[in-house]
Amino acid sequence: MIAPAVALREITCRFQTTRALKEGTPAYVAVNRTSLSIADGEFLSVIGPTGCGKSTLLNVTAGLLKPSEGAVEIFGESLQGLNAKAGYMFQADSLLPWRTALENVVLGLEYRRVPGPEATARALEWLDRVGLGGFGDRFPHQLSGGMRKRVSLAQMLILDPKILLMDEPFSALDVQTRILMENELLDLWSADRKSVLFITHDLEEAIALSDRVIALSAGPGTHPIGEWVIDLPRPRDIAEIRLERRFVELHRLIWETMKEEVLKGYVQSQRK
Amino acid sequence: MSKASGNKSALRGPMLRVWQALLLLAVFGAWQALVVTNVLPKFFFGEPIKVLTRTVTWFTTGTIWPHLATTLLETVLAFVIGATSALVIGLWLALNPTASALTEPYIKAVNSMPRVILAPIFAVWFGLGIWSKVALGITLVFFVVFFNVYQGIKEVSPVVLANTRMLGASRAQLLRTVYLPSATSWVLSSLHTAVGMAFVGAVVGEYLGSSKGVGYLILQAEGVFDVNTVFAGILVLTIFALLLDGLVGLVEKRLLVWRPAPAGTETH
Repeated sequence: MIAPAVALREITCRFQTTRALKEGTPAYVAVNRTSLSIADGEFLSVIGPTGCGKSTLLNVTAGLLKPSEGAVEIFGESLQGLNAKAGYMFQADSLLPWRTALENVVLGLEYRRVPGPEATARALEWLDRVGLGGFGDRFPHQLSGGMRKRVSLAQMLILDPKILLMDEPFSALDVQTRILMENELLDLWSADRKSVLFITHDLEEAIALSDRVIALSAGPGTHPIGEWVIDLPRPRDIAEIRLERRFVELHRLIWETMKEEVLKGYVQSQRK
Repeated sequence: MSKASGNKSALRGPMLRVWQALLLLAVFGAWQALVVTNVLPKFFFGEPIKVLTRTVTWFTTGTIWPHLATTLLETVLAFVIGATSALVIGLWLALNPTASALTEPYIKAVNSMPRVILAPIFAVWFGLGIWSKVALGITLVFFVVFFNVYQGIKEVSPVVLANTRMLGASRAQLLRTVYLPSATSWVLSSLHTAVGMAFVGAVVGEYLGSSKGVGYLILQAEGVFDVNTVFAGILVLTIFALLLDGLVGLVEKRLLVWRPAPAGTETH
């Protein structure tokens, strides 16, 4: 059997806050005994209320954060240090403001000491592929939010990572730009199926993009509360797929479970 | 005058420059008038006309150049050495929590000390040549730049940092592509103050003991109660301080093209 691209086993993340240290209260548990795996070439979305520890899971997979307990395996191998097989697309702006779009896309190749002319040629090609041909000499502040996301996408994809980690990458964009970007992401993804771990709080986005959706409970102590296989046919068009019957069915199904969880969290907070 | 203050559009572009020149003339004119009519004693206040003729003769006869060259050399040396060492030490301390925690109180102490008081010590250590002035300038420039470098490193966005690490940057590459440019942009915005400080160091150093330089000229003139020459020296210093500042502005503009223009400046 082929090892999954990503396997998180019983991951727990505790954060020691200064207040907890002073008062001797237990540490804040962001993620509690969470396991999930992503098959090679699978598009998996993780949804949950904002601040429930979704980004924590992503950082653990990226190797930026060491879990308090549990193991991370990448293609069957235990993860040590940073995850070199993964590309990470952040929610916030992550481009270097003092470099042009082209120089930002080249960055990863520069770090790998790819010769200058070759690196530039490949970066220009990637700028074209994300629809930014001719914008290479612009600085990030001269680009719109959507264009900056495209640069980030090119910056990540030029290194051809096997795994894409995406942390609500389009949440700051307006609805129209967002649909364009989602379609583009699906196009790029279907060209050479990479494994994707996509974090979002938008259920529609999750269903429209993914092969599988996992819902997380509200924090603290986040853990998965449900898992659904999205059996919508591909290729998909983000704008149109929302109107299909199966999409609406899946949406209702997942929302039922999530709603219960949201209510439960609300009742708990009222009791305290 | 009532027109200028009442109508804002009169104070724009070339007209503004004209009014600024008129203001300068008015101040000099008033000064001259007060001195000529003996309201202000000539002995203490000098005469603007004589100050200007002295300044012009300095330049036409060329006697000012060796002094000016010395002062500028001291300024440039103090600036370059001070800024470079501040950049290196600032980077090192900002990226090294142990060293920074260890040295923090002492850096604060040295920074809050009035460093001009070091000038006599530097004169003893380095003699009356240019190096005692350079040393004083360095102590002034260093802290301005140092704190900006430190801030520049601390201000690097954690997301940008995580992103470059995920793209595979080694420690040295992180330093070169993230920390150094970030620190440099902060240093550049402190350049105006730093160059001014270097200038102050040079002139004050000369004033306290030297054999050359504009500060020396002023000291000499003061010794023989030649107020006009003192004012002429001050005038020359002011003009060259403005020139240096303009030069820094050009460098800054050149190196900070990636920065968004502050909102509103383009609508003027």
